[in-house]
Amino acid sequence: MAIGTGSAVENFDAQSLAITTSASIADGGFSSTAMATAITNSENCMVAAAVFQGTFAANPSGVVNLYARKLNVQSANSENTPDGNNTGGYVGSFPLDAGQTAQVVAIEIPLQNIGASQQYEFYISNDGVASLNSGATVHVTPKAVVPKA
Amino acid sequence: MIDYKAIADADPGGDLQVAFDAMTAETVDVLRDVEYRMISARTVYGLIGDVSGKAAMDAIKTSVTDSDVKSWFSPDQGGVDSFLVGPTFDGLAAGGVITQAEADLVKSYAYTKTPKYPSLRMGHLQDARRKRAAGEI
Repeated sequence: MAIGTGSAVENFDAQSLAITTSASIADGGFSSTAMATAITNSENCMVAAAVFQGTFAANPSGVVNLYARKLNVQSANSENTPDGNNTGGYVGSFPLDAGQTAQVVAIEIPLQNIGASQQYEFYISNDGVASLNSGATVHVTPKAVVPKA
Repeated sequence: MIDYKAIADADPGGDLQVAFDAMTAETVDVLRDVEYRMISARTVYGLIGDVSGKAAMDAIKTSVTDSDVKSWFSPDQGGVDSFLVGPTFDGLAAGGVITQAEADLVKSYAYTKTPKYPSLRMGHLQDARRKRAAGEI
């Protein structure tokens, strides 16, 4: 069945690398600011696709949580960096395959925009019990619902 | 709340896994509820042996004036609070009637050991180290 003209479909912005872990992250730990690459939501999208790719030291159990820290929300002031006491920027969790060490998980996340071309830094926390090896990545793709041409 | 500063302060340093294992093995003594602290004279005998146990009881009879401790010798007394008799047994150890180890054994009935860092995860220690290195805590 063909999708009719004017139907709601999704348009995708470019996929951006948001996190590259340069060190392992132990159970309960967070990625650092140095591991994040700021992303600008230049199209002011309200949602995004997020893809986690990483390998654990042993088969994990649980999830990897994703947090979006909004930058420059009032002049040059940004939200506090996420950690175990500051989880308000939580945007979703990547459910892990308990039978594999290597993981590729894609989810959809909300994007809160405080201003035009909102910037974000993304962080992950390892809630997977096993240690997450260095070299894990998160890619983010802003997207929007549009009428089919 | 995760007290990253306290974790960093307690961090023994070195290898993360080794430091984490050391911290999770640490325990603290927590005072038990009074009903679990009650200890009988017979139990004291069992703990510190007949010879020193008798010596301790003789010393209590003749020299200890604390009424709670004296009440051990009441016919209907089931026991006394091992927390309250702690100073008495420390005194007996100081006087050479029993050893300090025996006194500590009696006093241990008042406490239970619980993990010092019950909810610590290795990532908390890792993050605490990073925050300390960055001068945040």
